[in-house]
Amino acid sequence: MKYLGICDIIDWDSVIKSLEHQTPTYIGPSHKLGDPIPGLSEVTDIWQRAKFGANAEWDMFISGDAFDISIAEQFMDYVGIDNYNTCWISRIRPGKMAPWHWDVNDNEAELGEFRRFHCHIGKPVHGHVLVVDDKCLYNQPQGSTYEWNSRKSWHAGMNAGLTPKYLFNIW
Amino acid sequence: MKFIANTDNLINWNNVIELCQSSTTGDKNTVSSVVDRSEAEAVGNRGLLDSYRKVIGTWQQAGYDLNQIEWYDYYPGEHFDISVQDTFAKLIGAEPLRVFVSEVYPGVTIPYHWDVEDKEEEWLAEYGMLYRYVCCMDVPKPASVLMFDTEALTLNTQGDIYEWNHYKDFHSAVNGSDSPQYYFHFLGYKK
Repeated sequence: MKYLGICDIIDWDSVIKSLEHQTPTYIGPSHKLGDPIPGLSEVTDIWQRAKFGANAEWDMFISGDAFDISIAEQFMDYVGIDNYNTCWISRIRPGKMAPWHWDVNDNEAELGEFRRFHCHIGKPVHGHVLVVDDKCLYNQPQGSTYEWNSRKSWHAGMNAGLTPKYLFNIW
Repeated sequence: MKFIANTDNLINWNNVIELCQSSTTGDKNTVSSVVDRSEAEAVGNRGLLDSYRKVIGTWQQAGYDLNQIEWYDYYPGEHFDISVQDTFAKLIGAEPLRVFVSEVYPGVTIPYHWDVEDKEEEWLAEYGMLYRYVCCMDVPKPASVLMFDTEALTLNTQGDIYEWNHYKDFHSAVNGSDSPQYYFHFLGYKK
């Protein structure tokens, strides 16, 4: 994973504020054991073994639905890409987590390679953590931006803090 | 937080984990059990009870489902051999006061808190200062993290020992891996 810098061309506090009282586009996880999606069993096998319960839950805010598409466009300018497949902001509430997984897409069979980025849009807070591959991202300054080694990198987001954790994602 | 050493081959942590895993008498901690215990122990110590309530109050205010918070503790001399504690104490150069192994199951978060210690005043009066250590006794597991205010421990080499900045440091833990996570905790004093 490559650190790209602080993306401060977007008012992340305002973006977060705009989402605080919105109903998320959907609540994850969106897939379940047995869904016929290539690669999904790699994740569901682990989750079934772990017996993750109600704490495995996160909110999804999709670009163009929950927040203005211009946010994605400004971020694309910052990281230097011309288009994207998917862009969203995830929110993990206190006590919740997105356990160890990779983002299996509904159209996984048709997808090629994409560059994937994320940005820590909240201020650093005790208990907010993201693990990608073997990297633990903790206490990250607001706007910290990373490019992933692969769209399919294994990762987990977790919140043992006292406030919701927000993360901007695009690929 | 300061890295102290690795226990290397001095302690067989896998054996300790096996003993804890197979034990049926570990101390199950839930919010209600901690409150009940603290209320029983806090007779005549209002401050202690208030400390517990304050911590749990922050969790409630943050929206935690208190029923989802649970962990198990195991003790030297009861669940695993006392020699583990003795070897560890010798390695770090401290005398033990409160030693335990914590077990956090997959999907569980232990929220932001500090460890309220009912004998704190007594021990401080007797020993002057207390010191807290944690040992990453488990094998590295992805998505299992122990957090402090600005630092986090994850994927550490089994046996890594860290000394806390202060024994009352706020901390939290999450386990997003597929198996229970174990840490060895040591609160003690230096001669």
